[in-house]
Amino acid sequence: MTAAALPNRPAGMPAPNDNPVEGGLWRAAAQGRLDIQCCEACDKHRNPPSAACIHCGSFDWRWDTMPGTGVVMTYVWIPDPARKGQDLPSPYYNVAVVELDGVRGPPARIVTNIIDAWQLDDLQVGQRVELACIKLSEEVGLPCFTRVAGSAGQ
Amino acid sequence: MTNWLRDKACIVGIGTTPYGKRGTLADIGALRLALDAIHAAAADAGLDVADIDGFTSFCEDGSTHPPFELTMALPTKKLRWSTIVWGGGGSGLPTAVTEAALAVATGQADYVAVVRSITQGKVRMGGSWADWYPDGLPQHNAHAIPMGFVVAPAIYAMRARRHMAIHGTTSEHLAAVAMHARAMAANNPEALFREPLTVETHQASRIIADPLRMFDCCVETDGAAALIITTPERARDLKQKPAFITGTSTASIPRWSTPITYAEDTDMLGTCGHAAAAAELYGKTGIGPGDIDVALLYDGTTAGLLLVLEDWGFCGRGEAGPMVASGGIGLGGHIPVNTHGGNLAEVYLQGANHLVEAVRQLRGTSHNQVKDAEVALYSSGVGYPPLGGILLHR
Repeated sequence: MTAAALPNRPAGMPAPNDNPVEGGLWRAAAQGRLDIQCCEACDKHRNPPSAACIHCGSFDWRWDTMPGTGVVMTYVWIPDPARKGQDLPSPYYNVAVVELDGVRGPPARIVTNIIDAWQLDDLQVGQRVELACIKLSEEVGLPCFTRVAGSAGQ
Repeated sequence: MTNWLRDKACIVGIGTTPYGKRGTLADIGALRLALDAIHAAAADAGLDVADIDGFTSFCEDGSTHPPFELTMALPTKKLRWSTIVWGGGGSGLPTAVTEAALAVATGQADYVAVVRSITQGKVRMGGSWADWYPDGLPQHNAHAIPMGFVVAPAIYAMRARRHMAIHGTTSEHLAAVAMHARAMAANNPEALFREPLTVETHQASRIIADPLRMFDCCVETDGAAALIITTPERARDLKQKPAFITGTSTASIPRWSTPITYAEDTDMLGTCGHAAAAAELYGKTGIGPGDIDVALLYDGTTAGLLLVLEDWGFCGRGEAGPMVASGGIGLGGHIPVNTHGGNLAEVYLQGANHLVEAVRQLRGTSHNQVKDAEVALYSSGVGYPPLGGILLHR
């Protein structure tokens, strides 16, 4: 495995909250799926997870499995202090806001890492991406993404 | 929209401590600094500090000492009124001033001190949030911190990147904001960062959250500022020409979360709520951006300042970068901005220093005085709501 094939992830970040409201998102990611909340009353999707619907207020929801594709709306590159002295392709990890495909209702977005992007010019606004989950444990994972070939953005 | 508050309260005293770089005043402590600023503001007003009977602040953190502690070291006769803004973080100053103005206008208090005191000895506000929440991540950041969204400048780096992609804003435009702040600070003996900045130095500074570099981020400092608010009637017996509160607006956008992923923030090209704050404040006062002589705009990052300029209507969407680069926020420009050097060069007091400077401009005592300044705008932090604006006139 070449260094560039490693997932580009920040070191030492806290694990997500595995609780009744949020857990479905992180537990689906451990199984390689992107599940987000859909309101049982108004049938609209939402993300990040919340105790009740941001569109109609209903407390009833289900988890819907999404296509797992989307578009990079914007992104940042942050230096990871834990990388000092390590042989990695870049000192920076990225955090991206991805607008998800397949959403009913107003757009739903997710904060994520594009784990195959390492260099500052590896990402563009408009870049298409697809799901590439990172497993943190048997139960919990993170819905990360990789770039879709041939999509240069804008 | 009614504006019941118009001219029912005014700022009659301003006080600041000497400022220091991060941690240098930690041994003095935020409590002592707050007391020094309150005494300075009372002296400036010509008011007996013992007559201050109300206190307010914002950004409830380790630096914030409640009035029952402040009054353990003040000769306060009566403590009639005390509050702090719920939510808002560093954006909360307009809400604090609104509350203070309402308190004096309705007789809940006679003289209210608005205080902000910060020392960054142990806790570094610009540091990583990764270790801040050992007992579980808070709702508004739970989906972001696990992904490494852990530094405050990233909030506006996200917006800056999109602004660059859609509107062609450049890092050199951001540099122009930072250079303006240093140019203003150069004439302000209280400012901490007064050396001139060049585009080359800006471009060579390290990446904090690309596209933002070190010189795109506010300074890390210690210090305190206080302002005394009372009624125009009481102001007549005091020393200074009052700065009247024309109006305020406090915009609390719903469902705010740090990187903003919710649907109502549709384009991610403005700030987190200042367009709404501007519409309300302009609407209820009848004052527009063209009527404002000087603008004191919270500048946590250079990028945030560009978006604030657009949200408050000093230029169109996408035009702030070129406007700043062509001198538009300088003393002779379209709208003079942050004549004290702001969070980027004077001191980081979450805008309390900006409001102090707004009062100085209306008194005619700024180190970078805008000629005959009659109307001043303060617009607050651009993160946590409630945020908002304050219009003052002389």
